[in-house]
Amino acid sequence: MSAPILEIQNLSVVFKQRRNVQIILDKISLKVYPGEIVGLVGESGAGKSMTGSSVLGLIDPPLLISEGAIIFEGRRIEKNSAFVRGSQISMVFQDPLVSLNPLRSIGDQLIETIRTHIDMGKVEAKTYAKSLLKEVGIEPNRFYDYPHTFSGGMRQRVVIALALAPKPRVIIADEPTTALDVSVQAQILDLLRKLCKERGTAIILITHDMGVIAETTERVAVLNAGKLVEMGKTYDVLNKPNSGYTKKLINSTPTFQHLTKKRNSKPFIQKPKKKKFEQLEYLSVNELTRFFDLSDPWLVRQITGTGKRILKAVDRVNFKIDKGRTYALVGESGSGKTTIAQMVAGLLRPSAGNVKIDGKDFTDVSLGKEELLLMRRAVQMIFQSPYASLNPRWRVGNIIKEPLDVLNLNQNEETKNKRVIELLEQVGLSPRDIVKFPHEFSGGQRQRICIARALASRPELIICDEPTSALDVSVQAQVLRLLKDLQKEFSLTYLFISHDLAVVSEMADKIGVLKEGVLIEEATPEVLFSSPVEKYTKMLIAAAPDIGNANKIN
Amino acid sequence: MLAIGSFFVFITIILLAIFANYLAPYTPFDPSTLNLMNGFTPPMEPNEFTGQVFLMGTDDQGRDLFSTILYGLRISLFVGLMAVLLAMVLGVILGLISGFSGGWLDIIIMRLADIQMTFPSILVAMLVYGVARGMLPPELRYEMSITVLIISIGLSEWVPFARTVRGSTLVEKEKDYITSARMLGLKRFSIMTRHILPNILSPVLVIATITFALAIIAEATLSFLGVGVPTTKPSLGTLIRIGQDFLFSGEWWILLFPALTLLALALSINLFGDWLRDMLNPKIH
Repeated sequence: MSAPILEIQNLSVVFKQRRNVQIILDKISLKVYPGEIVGLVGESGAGKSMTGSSVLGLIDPPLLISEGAIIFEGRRIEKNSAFVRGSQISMVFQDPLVSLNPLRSIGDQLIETIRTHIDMGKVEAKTYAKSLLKEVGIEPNRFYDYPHTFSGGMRQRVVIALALAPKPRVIIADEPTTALDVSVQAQILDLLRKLCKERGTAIILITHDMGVIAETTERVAVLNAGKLVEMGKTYDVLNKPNSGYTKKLINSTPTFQHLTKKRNSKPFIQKPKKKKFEQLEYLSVNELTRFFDLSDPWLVRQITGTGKRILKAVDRVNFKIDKGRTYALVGESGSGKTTIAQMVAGLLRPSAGNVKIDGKDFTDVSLGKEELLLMRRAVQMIFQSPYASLNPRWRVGNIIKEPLDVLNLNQNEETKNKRVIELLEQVGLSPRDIVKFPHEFSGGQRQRICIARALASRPELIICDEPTSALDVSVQAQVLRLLKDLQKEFSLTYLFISHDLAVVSEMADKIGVLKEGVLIEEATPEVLFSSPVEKYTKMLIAAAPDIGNANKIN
Repeated sequence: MLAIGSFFVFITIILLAIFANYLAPYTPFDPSTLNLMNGFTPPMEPNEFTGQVFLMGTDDQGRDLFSTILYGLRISLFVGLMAVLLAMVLGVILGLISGFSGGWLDIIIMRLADIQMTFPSILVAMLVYGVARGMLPPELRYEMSITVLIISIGLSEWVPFARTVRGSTLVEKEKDYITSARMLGLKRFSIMTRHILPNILSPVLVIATITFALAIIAEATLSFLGVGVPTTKPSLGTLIRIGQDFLFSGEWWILLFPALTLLALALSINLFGDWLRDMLNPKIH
């Protein structure tokens, strides 16, 4: 094997403020060889991004490198060697919207980057910039376009072109696809792999997603709480993990590979054997439709002569959920998942069609106060971000108690308080947490509080809108397990909304695939993953990174 | 350091105003205690007729300046505080409605705010003051003058509150905890007061401190222009107006001491407000 291009030796980073010293990175050593993709994986706070920043010299007080060195091509690089940093080693960030200057055309930005690093004339730089754009798959005739005219995936391509401009030997990509849809993510990962092969550039891919690691990297380093837990060939690490932490991480990662019958792996949640009880239809969504009027005001339309612009967010969607079952809606951003959830929750009025809960039409305008109250007790919702779904100024006890107060349940104060404690225990929190504020809890615990609140009114249907996408994998596994357990205990019906096929495959009894507001396919997970009918569904399944795919590239 | 210092100054001024009736050697608002012979006594010098010594001298009426400043502070602080409270209540209510309801109500309230912002707030205050005085029967004008002053300053300062509250409300109302409350079928009023209001109060507190300083200065300006509190109950602004008549005839102290007090008060409130803003901003920590 050739000499490593980049070597991180015993790198330690500490956070130092007055007497408070915290170790952020603890003696990390890592070698990167030319032309390979090395994955850095770990949960939030593991020190992945910090490792990337240290290599680029982006460590500022109160953070400081307390020991170790970064060796590039056999030479140790010092704090401010601009020659290496930015030209020999460049960076691709997570959010392409923030890393591009919105006021300048992409061509301008490329030329500027090229000319700061390479001694080149303007005309020459322009030709080079266009060749770079071509390489990342952008038509050179979009050279003078501004960042906002590009989609998320295209922007990330531009960012990659910018990173490539100085002809770097190493690219550090920090969660480059986290903000993107799966199909776009697959394209960007393909592009990174291609560049790696063709140019011999080494890539350090920082991500939290084990699926991305499995499909893209050759070697992987697993980080936990600032320590390097395990390092090795991706296939070996994923299949024969040595450390307990890696094992836990892998076991927590949901997968649908066992369903595609390509590989035998057990799902981390065993599906309960379907009992042969009578199937009661609980929720039925009939011809549900929602339009959004995006047109300009009337006067503007008359002057500019443009017509109305109507967005069909949801278009004649039908599905049914039996009592005690989970129905999942999957689709990429803009497919209308959340709009459907809002209509089922009664937050948004459908343009046409209706939502029937236990046979009663929830969308009926003439519903009386009492009936509405009953409906509201029966339908609850769990939201995506546990950071935004709890009022930061309220104590946990009051947050959970609010539905009891508002929905006229448990008249006296004492039974209410008892109920709150009971709920906290059901979701695995302690009764002492009543007096705490939301910010005193971690993301997973907050999601448990949200679940407790949703359970307060003893609902029958819970709408879960991406309930775990803001959480780390190991926490995600716990929350999903809790949801499963609660479903069994209270025979809850779930409408589960997610973009993550692997999560959905673990949770759902039936899956509906949404594309641009239309429900294009509906099947049980077993059928959907092994024999999808629609082309779009096939594409989604192929594009979704899955931890079971590590054998594909090696 | 600066914050602690300014806070100390501010607290001292407040205490001086509260305990004015114990601390002040004279009662300047009681005409029967005044002696015209004491007029124009320089600070710390015995009066040539009566031999009395005054800490900060006296004004043309023979009022002890130190006592008058202490009592004047009371009026300034009271008017400032009440005006800020009025502006805050008005601004928060209008801002909440504007941000939460949106639509035509939002347009009307915000355009009203825009129109008001095109006039200097002191002009608005004078306008309101003039109209209110004109509408009052003459026998009530004297008694109501402080109330009118408070209303006119309060009405001229609500816009910053409303704009900030509207902005924060727009951010908060999109968050899922509001959606969650809406799902329970809570009334809009409850959502606004129970959920949104507690989460937008910190910028309001900062604006309140800064507006407090502005209101005190506005009161001083109005009184200086002669449309504020009556001369029989002088506030800091009234004292400064009296003082500037005698500035060039050598009686400098009548102007200097009230002006310095006003400066110390406004400056300390502003510095305290800056500190409060930093404290309440999580990004700076």
